[in-house]
Amino acid sequence: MRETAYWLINIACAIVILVLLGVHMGVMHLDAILARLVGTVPEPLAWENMVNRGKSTTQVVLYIVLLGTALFHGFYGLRTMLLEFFSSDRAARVITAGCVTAGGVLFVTGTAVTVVFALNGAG
Amino acid sequence: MTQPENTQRRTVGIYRWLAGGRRGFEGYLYVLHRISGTALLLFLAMHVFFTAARLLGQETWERLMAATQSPVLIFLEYLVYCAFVFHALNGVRLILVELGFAVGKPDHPAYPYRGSIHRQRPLAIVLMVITGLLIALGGFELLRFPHG
Repeated sequence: MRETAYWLINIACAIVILVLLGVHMGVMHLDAILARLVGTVPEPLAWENMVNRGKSTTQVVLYIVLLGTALFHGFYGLRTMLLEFFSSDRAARVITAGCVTAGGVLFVTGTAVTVVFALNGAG
Repeated sequence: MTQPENTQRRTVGIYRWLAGGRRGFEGYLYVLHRISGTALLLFLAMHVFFTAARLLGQETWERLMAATQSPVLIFLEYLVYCAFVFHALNGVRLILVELGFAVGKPDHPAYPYRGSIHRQRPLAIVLMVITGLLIALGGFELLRFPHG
């Protein structure tokens, strides 16, 4: 039952990522194509634009949602692959604990950086 | 109902990773989905730490962004984009099939048998054509071909 819940969360995360990462990719990496479609767009990597994005509450919330869903989806997938190689109960516990720890560290790091930057700016 | 005891090994080994098997085209999409997913997860981990450089101030940030403009890193960025486009569109296919779309209606098992995989194939082909187009479009932008 628990695995079914993980699987459903994984699918839900995939749909959220599809939308948010699609927008992220379009704005951050395909800005020249976007500019052709909608006129001018701000240079995404310029310091001032990055600061403005980092201080917007909507952006901060969306960044954290994208980070959380992407990490769950990514580490759930990695765990699935690793469990095909190592299927003993002990190995499964170690793999699950490793994925939760790595995902947790990345989530806390990314969230802390995003929130600190939104509140205080560069140190 | 009690399940029969599974006496087979539960692990599938490296062979399943590298070979399409009986599923052919979709089998290779499965392999690529795993490779692209692993690559994207590695990139995400790096991305979280590299973008944290914004806490160190404008000068550090601008130096780091200037460093990302080297040809090697631009090419790697393009590979990340390709992995994302493929993984996203193949993922759309997997979700549609998971929810029962594009697999056809149940039919009597009359000879010659038609497997569900053949009914799914048009969806896979259409999505991979779109993937190819988006990867080509992104190439013009990300690989810095002259813009108009």
